[in-house]
Amino acid sequence: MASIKINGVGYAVRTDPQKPLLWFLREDLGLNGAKYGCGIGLCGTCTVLLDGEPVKSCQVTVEEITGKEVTTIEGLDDELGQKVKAAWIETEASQCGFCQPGQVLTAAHLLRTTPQPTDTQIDESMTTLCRCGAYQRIRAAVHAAAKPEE
Amino acid sequence: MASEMNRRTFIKATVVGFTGLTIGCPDNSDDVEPIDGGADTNGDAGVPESYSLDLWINIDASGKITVQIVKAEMGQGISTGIAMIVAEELDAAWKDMYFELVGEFAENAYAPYGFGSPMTSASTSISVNYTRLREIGAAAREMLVAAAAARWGVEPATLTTAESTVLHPSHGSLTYGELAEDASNLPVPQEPTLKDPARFKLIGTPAHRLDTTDMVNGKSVFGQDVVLPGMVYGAVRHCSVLGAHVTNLAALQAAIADTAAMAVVQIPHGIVVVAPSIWQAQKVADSLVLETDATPTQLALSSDSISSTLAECLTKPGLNVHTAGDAPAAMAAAETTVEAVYEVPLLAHETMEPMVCTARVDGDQIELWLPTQGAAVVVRDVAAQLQIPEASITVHATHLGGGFGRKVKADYAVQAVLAARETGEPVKVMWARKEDVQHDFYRPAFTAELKGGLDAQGNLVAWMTKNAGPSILGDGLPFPVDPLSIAGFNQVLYEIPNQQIDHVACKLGVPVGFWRSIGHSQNAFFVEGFIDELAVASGQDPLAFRKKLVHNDPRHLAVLERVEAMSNWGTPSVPGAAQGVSFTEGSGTYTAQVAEVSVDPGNKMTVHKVYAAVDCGRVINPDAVEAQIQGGVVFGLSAALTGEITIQNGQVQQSNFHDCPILTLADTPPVEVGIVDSTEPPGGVGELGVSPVAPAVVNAIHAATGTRIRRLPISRHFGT
Ligand code: FES
Ligand code: FES
Repeated sequence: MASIKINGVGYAVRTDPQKPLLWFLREDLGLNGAKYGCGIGLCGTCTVLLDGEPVKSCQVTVEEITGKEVTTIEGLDDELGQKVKAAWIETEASQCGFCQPGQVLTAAHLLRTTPQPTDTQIDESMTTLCRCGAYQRIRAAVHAAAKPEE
Repeated sequence: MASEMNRRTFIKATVVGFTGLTIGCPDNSDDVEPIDGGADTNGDAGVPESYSLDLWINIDASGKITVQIVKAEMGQGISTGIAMIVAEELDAAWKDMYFELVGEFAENAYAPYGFGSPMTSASTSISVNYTRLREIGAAAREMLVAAAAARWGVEPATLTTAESTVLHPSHGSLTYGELAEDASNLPVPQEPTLKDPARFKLIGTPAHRLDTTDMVNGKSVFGQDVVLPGMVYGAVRHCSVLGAHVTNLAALQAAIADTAAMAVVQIPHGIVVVAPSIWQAQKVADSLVLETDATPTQLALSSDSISSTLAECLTKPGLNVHTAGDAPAAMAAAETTVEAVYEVPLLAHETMEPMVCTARVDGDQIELWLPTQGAAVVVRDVAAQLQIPEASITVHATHLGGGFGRKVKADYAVQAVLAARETGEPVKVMWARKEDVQHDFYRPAFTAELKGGLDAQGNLVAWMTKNAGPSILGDGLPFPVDPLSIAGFNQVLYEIPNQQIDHVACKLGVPVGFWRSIGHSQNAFFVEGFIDELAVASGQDPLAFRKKLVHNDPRHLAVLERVEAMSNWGTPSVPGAAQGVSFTEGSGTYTAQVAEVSVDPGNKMTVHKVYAAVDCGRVINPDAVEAQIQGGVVFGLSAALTGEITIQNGQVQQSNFHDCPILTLADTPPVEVGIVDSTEPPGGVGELGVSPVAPAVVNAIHAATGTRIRRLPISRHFGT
């Protein structure tokens, strides 16, 4: 039986090892923050952090995450995660909200590795699609979250 | 005020709460168990008693004010806008305001707030319901005042309200929470007094949306997130040829014998494969080969055949939709004439959340949970297609992961009901992205022929135009021409003495539907591209030319002057870039845009910046207006640059974001929004950023290169 850790909780898993992580999270754990948007790794709405790195959960199987640690939007509550969420709220970066869990997780990873990202670094990292076109405010929210506390 | 203000009689229930839907646990939880650190999070705090004022407003004893939202929340922030208008008249403290999305029932679905459209579309939620919403807030306030007056034994006129509190000079104050129960027992005032807008405190100020916190925590419940006890999943496969039906159902049902799938259910134009997991359902569906009754006509459909049908329609006389003066005579007498033909392709919606609907059938009762822009349409269409009474259908609205006009349709609801009825289980039917792209109700392909005549002084004296394309509303309309086909075409914003404007309805054999900005999405491109051609042909500055044509209308002129100032017209912010302008109207809102574009020696074009000046009348929430215009520009720009659905052998050729791309963050230029101060009635904003951007960019490309683009997308002509 596979053992994996999700948002700090360890699980023993009997699920089909070939099942994509996205559907495991949604169907087996009721964690609906990761969304299905394309199913083939193009849109990023299914993004979660796997050992801290953003991955597209539609492209990773349960087998592949054995022994690893997954953070979903529901579990992103460390100091940086909270700062990113607060910046999102302050800048009103969300429209329909469907892509936003993916955006927020990607931003949290970017800011962990690059605390003061340039616009070019934001362009390169923030690749989750947003059909509502909230990009300008998403960019502003990343900059706002990067601001050192006064 | 009409008696429909009292809604106690016809609303039966609401389901999807503000923070979440907690109907059941995931059904596959047997396969997984926490082995450490699993905290029990089901602590249930006491909930204060809540009282209905019969006005789509509930106030609980703690003072929490919940406005019930009958409009679809799809990212436009409508719930916040509605709550702001109600709170303004109610004199409520903004921190007390909450909302709840409610489902609609057949009896009242056509009459949210007593009137208006059964759909959330055409940017009309605020513009149509503004006064009604104010009346609702004002009536609730009067009920709370009356309750306080009775409590203190004083005249209501001696009381004032502020920040969710009723005040009296000597008795002190009572909060709305303290008065809610008494107020809920009072009659609803039928003619409440509205505030003088000069005293508005909330309307016109930037307010934070009430739902952003849930969204960034992944807690908002979208259609995709609905969970029912015992729920199974349905994967949809449509016949790849548009309009065809499945003919080998029995073989498909036999083929799933040794798979995880439980059923194959026939639906119009396809099947639903039902399984305990959507992953299993999709896998089995992928393995099935659908045989169909595709006809030679259906198979012959292609983008080329669509273009030739449109071209042929354009040669027909058409119906006249507007006349002024004598356009043929003025054209014949004109010093210079210009003629052009424009064409736009089919476009997909690609809402970030693909179609999804959960259905539960219990005897003759049907319950549906889905993201929809038209709960009433769902009730009507499901009832009609399955021949069941409308009263047996209950619709629960969820958040929408994008709507853009696609979720006005009920096709996915019908599929879910069929799957639930046949399997006897609650079924969540989910579309794969490929189904979404290939079985959309597309923005129709359209064409237009435009002719303009200028006199020796460069005045536009004659305007003869004709557009041709399919009707979205379809046959059997009570008027000769589908108004959506000619929106933004039959009434040009410019003063032109002689006009003849015609329309030819043209069937294409492709399912078409509402697409953010509807008819304006093509007609603004036709009209504003062509106006630019006339300016250029007569050697006039395109913005000065437009200003001259609206000089008698101060409102129009102000919008053009605003964009002129914002964009520093004539001096692009990026060296080497060129500017293009456009001007449109829709849903009572005027928008002028300037795009800055450059084209490199390798013919690759870049949009550097877009300026948008907006007059949407009285602004409710300027922050939401800015967000909607920015998002609209991105949506319109995706379409202008690369948007195109093509068809070959009756099948849509695109399938996902790789061949039907949308703009990325890196590609998105900054969009600067300028809001013109206005006390005119509020106009719509959800669609108003969309249609002006294509002509602004195309006009800028002409200014940069001398190349005139009359056929979208731009990627047909330049690298993007
Ligand atoms: S759903 Fe996984 S990348 Fe789109
Ligand atoms: S906010 Fe709607 S898709 Fe990004």
